[in-house]
This record gives sequence, C-alpha cells and structure tokens, in this order.
Amino acid sequence: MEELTQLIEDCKLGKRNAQARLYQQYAPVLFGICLRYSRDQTEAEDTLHEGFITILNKIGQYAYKGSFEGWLKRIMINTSLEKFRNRYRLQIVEDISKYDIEPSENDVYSDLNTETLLKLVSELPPRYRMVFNMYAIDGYSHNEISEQLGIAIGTSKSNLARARKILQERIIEMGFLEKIYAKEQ
Amino acid sequence: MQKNNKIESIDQHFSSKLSNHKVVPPPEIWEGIVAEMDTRKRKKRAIWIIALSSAASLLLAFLAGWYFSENISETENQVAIEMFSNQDKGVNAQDENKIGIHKNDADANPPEMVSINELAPDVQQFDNLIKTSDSKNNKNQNHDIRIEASGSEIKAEKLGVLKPLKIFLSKTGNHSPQLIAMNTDEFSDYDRKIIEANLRNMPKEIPRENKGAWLVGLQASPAYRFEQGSTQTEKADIIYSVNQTGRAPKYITNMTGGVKFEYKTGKRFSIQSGVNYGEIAQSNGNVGVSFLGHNWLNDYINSDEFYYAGETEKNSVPVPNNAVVATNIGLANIEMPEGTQIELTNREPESNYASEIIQNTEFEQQAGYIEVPLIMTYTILQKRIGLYVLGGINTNFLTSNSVELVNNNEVVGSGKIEGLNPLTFSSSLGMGLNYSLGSHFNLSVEPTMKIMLNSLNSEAIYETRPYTVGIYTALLYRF
Repeated sequence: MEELTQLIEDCKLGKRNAQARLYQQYAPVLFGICLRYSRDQTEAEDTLHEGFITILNKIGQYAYKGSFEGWLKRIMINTSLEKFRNRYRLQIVEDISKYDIEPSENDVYSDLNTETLLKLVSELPPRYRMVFNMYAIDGYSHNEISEQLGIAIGTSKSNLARARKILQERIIEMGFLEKIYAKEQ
Repeated sequence: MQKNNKIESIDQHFSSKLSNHKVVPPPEIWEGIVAEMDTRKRKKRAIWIIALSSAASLLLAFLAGWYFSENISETENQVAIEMFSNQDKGVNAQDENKIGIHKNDADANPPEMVSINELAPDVQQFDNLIKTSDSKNNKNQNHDIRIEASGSEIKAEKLGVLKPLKIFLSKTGNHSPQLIAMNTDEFSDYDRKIIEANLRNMPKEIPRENKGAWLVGLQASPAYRFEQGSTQTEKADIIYSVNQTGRAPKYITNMTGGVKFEYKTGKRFSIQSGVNYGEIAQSNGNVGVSFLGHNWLNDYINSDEFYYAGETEKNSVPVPNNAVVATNIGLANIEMPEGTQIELTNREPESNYASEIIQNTEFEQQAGYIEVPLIMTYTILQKRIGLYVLGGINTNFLTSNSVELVNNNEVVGSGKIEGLNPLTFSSSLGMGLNYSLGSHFNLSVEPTMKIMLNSLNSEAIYETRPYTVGIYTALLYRF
C-alpha cells in the first residue's frame, strides 16, 4: 500500500519512471475495459492512449478517496464514453417489451471463452455496447447511464434489452453452429 | 422469475468473465503516450517562454517609458533666467549683479534673485550656447545685453536701456545647461513653439561622452550545475538506477571563462559575445558495471532473461577489458587493460535488477565545451555602479569527452561517453553590475543562469538538460 502511495506521489511529481511503472501495472486491466467499449482493437488502443494521458494529467487531483484502481477504471470508461459521444449522437427510443428474452432450457453459452464474449460485446451496435458494458459489467444504474450518454432512462433500458437479445441470439447461433461442427466431426 | 434469472445469468456471465479481463496492450502505445507527453511538455515550456518573453518585453517597455518620461521631465526642468534693468523692475542697487531665476513656470512665481557668480559654475560653455542660439534664431541676434562666459565667470553688460530678458536654460542629467531660448520681450506663441521645438531637439544636442563603444577583456566564473527534474525518459531512469545504485551523480564545480567582447549600441543597450571554455564534470562512487559491451543495453531492454546474474560465489573475478556504464548523460564505454581485477560485490541473482557493483570505485566523467555567447544587455541604472539585466543564447561546441574508472586511486579504465551532441545551445538570463576603474577599465559582475535548450546527448533515452548558475566576473578595457 505504501508502495502504491509512493508510486502515486511520484507520478504526481511527473517522474517518468513512476509513470512507466504505473502503466505497466494497470495498462492490462485498463486495456481490457477499452476493448469492451470499443468496436475494434484500433479504437481500443486509441482510447487507452487518450485515457492514460488523461490519467497522468489528472493524477494530481486523486485524493485517495476510494480505490485507486476504481478511479483509473472510471477515467478509462469516461474516455470511452467521450469518444462514443463525439462519434454517435443519434438517439433512438424503442419499446423494451419486444426484446423480452425467452427462457432457454439449455445454457448454451456457459462454455464460451472470454475472447469470444469480448468479441460478442464489441460487435454490438455502439450504443448497445455502451449501455450493456455500463449496466451489466461496470455496475452503472440506468439513471447514471442516461446522464452519461445524454439519453432518456427508457432509452437506456431499451438499449440494454436489445443488447441482451442480440447477445443471446448470437450465443445460441454460435452454440448451434458448434453443435453442427461437432456432428460433422 | 425464470426470465429474470436468465437475464441475470447473461449479465453475470459476461460480468464474471469480462469485468477484470486483462489484455497486455501493444508496446507502441506507451511509446506514443511518452511522445505525446513530451510534446505537451515542450508546448507548455514554449508557452512559458512566450509568457516570460512577453513579460520581459513589457518590463523593458515600462523601463523605456520610465526612462524617456524621466528624460522629458529633466528637459522640462529648465531654468528661466530673467535679466532686467534695475530701473524697469525697481530692484535695489545691491541686486544689480543678480539675475532672476524662475524654475519651471516663469510667470507663476516671483523670480529668485541669484548672483551671476553663483550661477556661473552651472553655466559653462555659456558663450558657445549663445552663439549657437544666435546662429539658429536670427530673432535673437540683436539682444540688448551682451553676455560673456569665460571659464566659470559670466559677465552681463548693460547695453542701453534694458527690457526684460528671459533666457531659458535646460539642465539634462549631469550635462551642462543648454540654452533653449532667449528673448528680449515677453514670449509670443511663436517663441513658445520655438522653445517646444528646441525642447524636442535637446537630447540630440547633448554632446556624447568621450568614451569608446567597445570593451574587450577576460572573464571567469565558477559554474554550479543542477539537473532539471523529470527530464530523463523511462529507459534512462531504469538503467540509471540499476547502474548507479540509485545515487545521484556528484556534480563537480568547474571554473569557466574566456575572452569577452562588448559593444554599446546605445545609451542603454549593448551586445556581448566572446569565447569561453567550460566543462561538465561529474563523479559517482560504487557504480554498477556491465561487462558485456554494447549489446548489454539492447539485451537489457529486449530480453526478460538477461537480468539473472550467472555466478554468485566469487567476490573477486577477472573482468573483460570492455565495460559499459549507463549514466544520466549517456552510455560510457570503457576500455580496460587485459587482466584488470576489480573487487565486485552485491550480486543479486534473484533480482531483476542484478548487476555487479564495483566497490571503492569512482567513475568520473568530463565533457569540455567551447561556448560562444550572444547576449543583449539593458542598463537600468547609470550611476557610479551601473545595474543592468542580460539575456541571450549560447552556442556550445563539444571539444573533449572522457570517462575514467578509478579503483583505489588507480585509473583502471578510460573511454568516452557515447552520443554526446557536438553542438548544443543554452539560454542565459541574469543581471550585472559594472564599475568604472579609471577612464578605460571596467569591472563587471554578472550572476547568470544558463539553461540547456537541447539535450547533451543525442540519444533520446539520455535526454538531459542541466542548468548552471555562475557569477561571471570580467575585467574589460574600453576603447
């Protein structure tokens, strides 16, 4: 803990060596976030670049309130959202009920690995990807999502439902295909 | 219920696998971040330089304004000398050899009576001034009084019936009073315009001091060196800490000096130049040395396996004749005679930062430079001791470069620092005091700070821009 505090203080002083160590320590988890919020690797790399510069510039404001990693993650999520806001401004309001998920007897996606799940998330339409990441993975409420993305709470809910629906369909589709492949072999 | 469970199951499934998912980003991202941070730092520095330059310009403008306004007020501090006949003014007989003096406003106050002899020391060359005035202003040629100045004496001789005669003199600084107008009548508007015109032209008529504009001499100063913080890049920082056990190098204070020229371009400004020799020298104790030559650096950066030391049991081993030490100003490549033995200790096989630390060893580095400055000075005070500010650019040519490994007072290896820039630039900022020693010699003392504008080393990982502070003392001959 003292070591982390020292590292943060060195970063506040702008010591390049400390900044490098901070990057080495936290870049993997932050890049994981960037990949979830981005449509592809290139966009994720851009976000990491931009977000980490923001972290280095704002680290002087970190007042040891709450987890440091949480603070870093929030900056990276905010950077992703900022990029999203700048790129996609179209708002869609939809009826949530049409995206109700039908119960499935088979847990077809339990065997899917992390890379596949990441790919499924990144392939979601941009807004759905944002909302799904924020709500399902990073624990934002619909209220917070609506503020962050500048959309109505209803829109956030419908986007989430739509995202889940797409993911479920894709997973079932993939499970189905896997079964076909298994039979063929 | 089942539907809700299903939804939660989807969310949880993704969350459990993705919330802390770690992916090592490609290495070039950090390089991009470093490059952008450096660019931002440079821009920030440029903004500071612009802001400081603007502030300096404003200060100079203020000083210039202050100086010129002071000059004008000095010029306006003319003395109205009213000469009149005792008949006209009814003055007492004992006042006959006195003249009336008005300061600033000739009409506002009654004239103060001052004897001509009292005034005389202040009115040298009065005779010449009258002649100058006569030749410029025909209107004043036929005045009713003849004034003769001889040495410190002024004689006023009545020529017939006198009308009031007003003579305006101007005292500018320490210069002799200057005649700016004289009249036998009350001043007309036309006369006042002449006076104003004369006032404007006054500074041009002040005779130049009979001193030369060139100065040449010798100067010297101790140069105290400091390192700027956070200028080293990531790799240099790591290498530096590994190889020098985290200790900062001990900077050696050198004398710097050479020939100095100065040319006075005007009353306030002058340009300085010359040729100086200076050194950047530093020493380290107990340095860590890698004996694997140049490949060591690349291996260190690119290989994860390299850090592990091979042997741990020996405290004294023969070493190869080529050693490399990474320092804050560059990579030092040292040649040692075959069979040289150096006492080694402190091997740390488990540590990623293992290196062989040499005991009782001093590592000395020296880089010599010829410096050609181009400095502008601005004089603030022109008293017996003058005060001025200075600023400018220095061009530094690398002339020597050496490193020595000294073990138990014996030089066991020597070589060079690699990658030192042959040409570097620094800025100078300081202030100076000068004192005239007789009519031709001048002593100046200039506390000055010099900041490197580019890195000492051309390799990006050894970026270092030290700054030095010195008290440059010069003895100059004026001609």
